[in-house]
Amino acid sequence: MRALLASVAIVATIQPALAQDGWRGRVSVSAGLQPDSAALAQQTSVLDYLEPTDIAADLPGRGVPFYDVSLAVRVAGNLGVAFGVSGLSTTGDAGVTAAVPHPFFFDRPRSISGEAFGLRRVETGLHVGVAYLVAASDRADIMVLGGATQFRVRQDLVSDVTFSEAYPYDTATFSTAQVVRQNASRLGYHVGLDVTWKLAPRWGVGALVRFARAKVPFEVNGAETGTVDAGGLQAGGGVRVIF
Amino acid sequence: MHTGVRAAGAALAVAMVLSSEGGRPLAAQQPRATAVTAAGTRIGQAASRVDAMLAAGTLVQRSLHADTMMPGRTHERLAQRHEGLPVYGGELIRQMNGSIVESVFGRVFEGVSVPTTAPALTAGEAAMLATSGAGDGAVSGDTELGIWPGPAGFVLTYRVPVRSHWEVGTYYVDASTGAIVEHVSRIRAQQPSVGLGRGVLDDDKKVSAAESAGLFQAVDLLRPATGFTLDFRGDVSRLNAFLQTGIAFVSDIATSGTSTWTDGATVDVHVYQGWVYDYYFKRFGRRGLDDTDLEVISIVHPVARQAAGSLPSDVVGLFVNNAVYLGDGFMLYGDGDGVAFDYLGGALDIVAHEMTHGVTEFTSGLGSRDEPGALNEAFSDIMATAIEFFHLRDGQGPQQGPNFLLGEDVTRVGPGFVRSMADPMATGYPDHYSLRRHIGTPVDDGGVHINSTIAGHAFYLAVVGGTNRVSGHAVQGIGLANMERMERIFYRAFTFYLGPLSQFTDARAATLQAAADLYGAGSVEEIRLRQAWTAVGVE
Repeated sequence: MRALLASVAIVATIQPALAQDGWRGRVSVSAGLQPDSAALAQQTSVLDYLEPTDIAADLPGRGVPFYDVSLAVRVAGNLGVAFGVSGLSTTGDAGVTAAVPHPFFFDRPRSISGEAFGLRRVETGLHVGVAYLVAASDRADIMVLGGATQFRVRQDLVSDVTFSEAYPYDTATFSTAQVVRQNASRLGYHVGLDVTWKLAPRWGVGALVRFARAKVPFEVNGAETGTVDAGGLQAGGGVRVIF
Repeated sequence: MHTGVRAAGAALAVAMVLSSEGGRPLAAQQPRATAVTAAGTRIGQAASRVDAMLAAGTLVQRSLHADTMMPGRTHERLAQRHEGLPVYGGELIRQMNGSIVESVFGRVFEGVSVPTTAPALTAGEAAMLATSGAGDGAVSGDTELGIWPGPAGFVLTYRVPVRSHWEVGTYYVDASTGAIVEHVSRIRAQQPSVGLGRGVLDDDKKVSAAESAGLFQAVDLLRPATGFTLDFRGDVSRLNAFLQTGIAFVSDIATSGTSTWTDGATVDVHVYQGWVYDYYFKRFGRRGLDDTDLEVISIVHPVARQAAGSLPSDVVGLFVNNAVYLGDGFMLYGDGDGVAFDYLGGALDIVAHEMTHGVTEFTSGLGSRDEPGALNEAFSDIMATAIEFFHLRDGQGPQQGPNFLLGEDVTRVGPGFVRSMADPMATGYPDHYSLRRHIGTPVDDGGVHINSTIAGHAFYLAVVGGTNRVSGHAVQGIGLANMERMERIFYRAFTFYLGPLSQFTDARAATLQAAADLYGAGSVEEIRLRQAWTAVGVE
């Protein structure tokens, strides 16, 4: 993130080498990887035997492929507006732990642990911002991007656990995790660079590096259960259509 | 009386636990079951019909029971048959008075008919289909070929009892097609429910109850030995009827309209009897009073506290300011008069004491008089104290921790407890064998409660240590942290080695033998215990 912001700052200081008179806009279609995504530390509780069963689910982060389709339109000079949509979909397993109350006694929770399999996250970002085009050479230019991002996240969340127990109930065994699918939206931001290498007057290839972020809170069982860090560092490449 | 009481308990359990498969109303298109109900002067025709059906083999005797309430009478259950096969649900009950038919009740199906009574499937094939239908089921009894009265007519079926994940049921498999035509759950209708209860001393507890159709009953279904708490609601006539007949009814069971229980006596007795079961199970692997999960049935509010002033003192002493073990797993806890005692069931050690009498009943059978009776009481006190220590830690419970006092939670007059194992003289009870009294007299049945403190004090000294006031012998106890060891010693001795006529000296020998068994001859436990018995004058 720090490196990216530094890059943006450096690029922003470069004077346009060439007026971009021929530039009206471009369409970018990219795909790439969003490292360290999908992580979620979740906590919730349900009532069992008159006391809360405290449940924690930990979904580890990892790289997730993403796609991005953007449109940048020149407004004046090197300045334009950019619209884009990016998204990813991933499925992972979460480690689940819970402290289950004892049926006969208060304050004697029993620890259980297991896994919740196949938790899915679908994340969509709608990016709106400014684009500033800098010509790096005759064939290459750099578009500096920045603005707001509206994230919509559909996330599978652990809502409860089932367990088996037998007299004298001093231990319990994890059976399954119950999962609910929730949707939430949040407004965040994005900054990024889109480098285009023209292979022909009207098209080329490009690389996209962007950082977008919104903290999206989720509720389960009537209370906040955890926050999804939607977005992250996105790095990818694709085709560029210049018009 | 004990036999009657246990019979009553069993009947109660059966009524509570089993669901009826045959009680469902039949739809209009179904084969019709005709009532054969007659008594008195109208008995002739019904009796003749029963005789004719018996002669034809369309009725067979399923069971015969003597009437325990009216001598000389018997009750027969006669199951309907068609070509030798059972017709499910068809049954008549005939009451006989010698050779005279008194009544006939029940229903049988008319016009029973199936295309063939020769099944196309074998019983094994039907069982396989049923277990497959249950998912992961297994046959849990005999597969029986019979006639099932279905909605479209009679069907030759196999009846297959199946246990499976989350289900205990009966499957009816068409003996011709293999189709499962009916599945009836045999799981008891009641569901375990853990509710919140507030005890006599305003402390909250979890109440293991049974819930059915929104009504909560004080029936503990979560432990292997079902625990019932009956509420006689201070009805003296109900108490007397129970004492005379030993019959308890489902309607006696304490209930609550919600899962929150507010009657302190019910809450504490019901919860504590479960805790006592837990102790014996966890500490010794014992399964209830008889070690085979005998149901435990406690009675609260046998006599209303408000009525104490108008009752004879002996009644108050027995049924108000007292707790009693009635035998065969029945306990009774008085309301206390509110002056000398609060609700007796409000004390964990009192409930544990009474239930331990049940353990004694099914093990040593120690008598109820003189020295055997004193040992009986002492064992109840020792186990009651052990149970208090097992369940309560420092700062927990009404007394903010366990202790060696008995009944301290509900005693309202000085010195604030019934007995002390640490200092028996605090209630004037002997702390040395030389001070035993009332042996052979009617007083306290030969001093059973009074002299119990001699053995109780020996247990205390063996655990905590101290100097006996009379003998001056100092004992170094094994320490509270090791109290479990002394519990095992006394449990082993009192349940395995002692008998109905055992004396104090036998108790000494038995406990020392148990100590040597468990921890070795010459072990610290044996040495300290020997010192303790000597200190209290038992040789």
